[in-house]
Amino acid sequence: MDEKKVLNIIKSETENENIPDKIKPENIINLLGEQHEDERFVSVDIKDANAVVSAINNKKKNKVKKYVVATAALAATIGIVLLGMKLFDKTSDIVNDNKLSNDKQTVDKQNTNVVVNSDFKTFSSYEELKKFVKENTKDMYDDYWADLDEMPTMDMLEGDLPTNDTDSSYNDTDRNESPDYSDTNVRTEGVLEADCIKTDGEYIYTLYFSYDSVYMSVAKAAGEDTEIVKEYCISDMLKEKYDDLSHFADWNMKEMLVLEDKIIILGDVFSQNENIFFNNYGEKKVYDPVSLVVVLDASDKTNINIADKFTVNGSYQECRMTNGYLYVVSKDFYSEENVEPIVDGDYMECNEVYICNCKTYNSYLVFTSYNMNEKPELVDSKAVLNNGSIEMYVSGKNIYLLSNTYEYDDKGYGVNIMEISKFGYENGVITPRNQRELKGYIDDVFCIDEYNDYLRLVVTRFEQYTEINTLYVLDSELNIKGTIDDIAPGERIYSARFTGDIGYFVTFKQVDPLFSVDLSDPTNPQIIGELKIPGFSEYMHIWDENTMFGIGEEDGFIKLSMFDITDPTNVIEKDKTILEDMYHSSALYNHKAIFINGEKNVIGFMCEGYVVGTDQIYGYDTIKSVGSYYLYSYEDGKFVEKLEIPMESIYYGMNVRGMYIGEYIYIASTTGDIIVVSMDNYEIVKTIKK
Amino acid sequence: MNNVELVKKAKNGDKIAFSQLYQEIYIEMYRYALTVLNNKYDAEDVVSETVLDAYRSLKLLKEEKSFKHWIFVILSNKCKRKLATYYEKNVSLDEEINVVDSKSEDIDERIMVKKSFAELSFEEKSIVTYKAIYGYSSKEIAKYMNLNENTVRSKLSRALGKLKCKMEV
Repeated sequence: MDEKKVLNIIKSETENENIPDKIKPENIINLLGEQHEDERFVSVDIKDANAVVSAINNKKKNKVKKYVVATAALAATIGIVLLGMKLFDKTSDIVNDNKLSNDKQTVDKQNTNVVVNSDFKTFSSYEELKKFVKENTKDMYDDYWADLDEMPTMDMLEGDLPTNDTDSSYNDTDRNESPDYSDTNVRTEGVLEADCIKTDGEYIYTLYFSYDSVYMSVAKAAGEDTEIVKEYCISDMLKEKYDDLSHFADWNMKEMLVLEDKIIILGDVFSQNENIFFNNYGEKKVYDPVSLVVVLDASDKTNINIADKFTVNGSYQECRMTNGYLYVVSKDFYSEENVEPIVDGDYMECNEVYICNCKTYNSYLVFTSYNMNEKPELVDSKAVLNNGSIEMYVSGKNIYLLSNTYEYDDKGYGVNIMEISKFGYENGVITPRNQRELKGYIDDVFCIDEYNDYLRLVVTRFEQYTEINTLYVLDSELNIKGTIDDIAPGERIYSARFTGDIGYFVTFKQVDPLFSVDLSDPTNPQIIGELKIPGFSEYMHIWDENTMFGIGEEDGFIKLSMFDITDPTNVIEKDKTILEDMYHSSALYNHKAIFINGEKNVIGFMCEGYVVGTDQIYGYDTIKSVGSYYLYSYEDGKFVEKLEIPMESIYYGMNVRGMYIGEYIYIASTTGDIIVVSMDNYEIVKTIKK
Repeated sequence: MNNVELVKKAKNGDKIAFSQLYQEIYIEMYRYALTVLNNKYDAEDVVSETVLDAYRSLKLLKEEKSFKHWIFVILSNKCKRKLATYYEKNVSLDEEINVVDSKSEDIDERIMVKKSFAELSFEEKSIVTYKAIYGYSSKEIAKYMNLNENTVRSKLSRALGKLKCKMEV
């Protein structure tokens, strides 16, 4: 019997099977609706869908309902835990154990959450590397959780710089005087992050792209005289200047950085034909994305030109910039024949390829660094072989990669494994340092924090389908110095914020505790406070030294909270406000989407809700998205809504950013619209519609 | 409206958008589950559980483009877990073999194929299913399973080898 016949038999087995009614799309709508009634969204009554439910459906319905109720119950248990942590006092077993053993290769048997710790391996030739890759490349099929976070958020450039994020407008090291404008809300003060809308205090730059083109518009910010000065088609400019970019489509240029006389645009492109010649060796890398770093000469805003471009094979992930050096991370899936990472068309040196201690491998993370002080140049490139599902945190001194995998134990229970790899960086040079494996995963970049050479992180792991949360304090070599385990079992961490010796985090449960942790003794972190309030925060921001802001949800609606953190052992929710009918805000998941400045006393963010209509053709209920940009201030312990600006048309993927320049607040969106608001009286003084 | 926009709408809690996305893939999902699990009721269950899970955790999906890939990863994990319970309970796979509308001369062959298929590992079953039902290339399967393309190729030929080999015995 030949292969074809075997495949045909397997194929024909299910070919004539009827699809059970229960899982037909019209019934699925209903099922989701039921779920939502019990969960967070206000459900929309979708009539008639039940009419189609068949006898089988009814027979099986009880079972489905049970499931729905279970998920709803889980959802209802989400709450806020503000955890103030104190990291001193008693010496734990783990610390003693670490003191006794310097052998980093040994498995730490005292603490079952620790798997391995070792330094990086390299190979002297690509032949050896190929052999290694061949033997160790494995699938990530089980990697359910990692896959959810597959696209790395290198949301994390932070570090040695003061972790005191009281003011979101960082002091750019490239600038001498403190600017009278706000830049992107960053993870770490002093470390620049790229975004789709930027300002230099004089102009507002907006980047937007479609499949075949990428544009940048430049607007002169001048209060009521604000106007768009020029619009550039970056992709056309690139195609014109560089022959090797002419056949690219799918311009996915996501973000940019604005320096004094330069603008850097970052993203990736996909080829539209089979000849990609980013490989100087004549090999084809069909359909592989190529990361692009485009440097524009912006000394004259009305005549911006392309100064230079750099490429890295692989999809663009994230970048950070500090001290005039740009660090870019790309992800490249290798094949067993072509294991060499390629930077600017050339193979990297084999000894610059480092092997993470993962159990499985399938891709590289390629770091490149560029000196942007004068003439842009590539300074360093390093590649890390890992399993491709990476979160990244960059501190002032170090870059941390967190690689997540999901494995099954003998009994079929899933286990989250996180590999932490640490790299130093200075003046563009990237140096591999240490590795450590832990069980669990982090919710976002705010759950990991470097302070005084210690790395603190709060992780959640699944153990036999129950979530368990742990706080770790690791030393500079990533040895575990202190832990608090079994925090809030059955809940998971929703947000975290560390400030100096104190950490706060929110877990999700029926009533919602906010925990405070004292971390002043790294070997003995202590939970010192717990605040239980309804709702939960998805993002927290230090407003001033005594106050922390939180944005999250309560009863499905967007909620703002202000916490008094003067005494971390007794955190108080000073005020909260709930935005009724607003169900979603990009600020919940993307810290760049929130405009927050304690000094100027302004909070700006976009919120979305929806209205229900009826489909003209099919007659079923439809949901149309509506949204507004909100400006709030916090006065005498109360939130004050200053302005609500309804956004007429909301298209999905539209980004809106608020910023202040001088006396005005500018609300710019990737549609090209700009709304100018006076900070004196919160009146709209100018609206630019594109 | 393209799928990316639908995914973004669904992320915002739009059930209709979600079901429009689902509409395009539910037959594939069901047939995949049915092939791998060989049990109609369980296939139905894992598909509906997958749908609920996907809807609930859709916010976590960062790349809208990879919606289909992502939902299949959830589905296949559910199938895998379900299969693990079969092994625990020692479910006899023979009972499940149904040879309905087959021509009589084919029946022996079909039974043999199904028996050997049942003995494959979960991963092999998945690869063979993608290949057999959807005719995916190794590259596509690699994408769905987050595997290396060459790994898929060698695993597929090994799996097919096992199927043939068993039948030749």
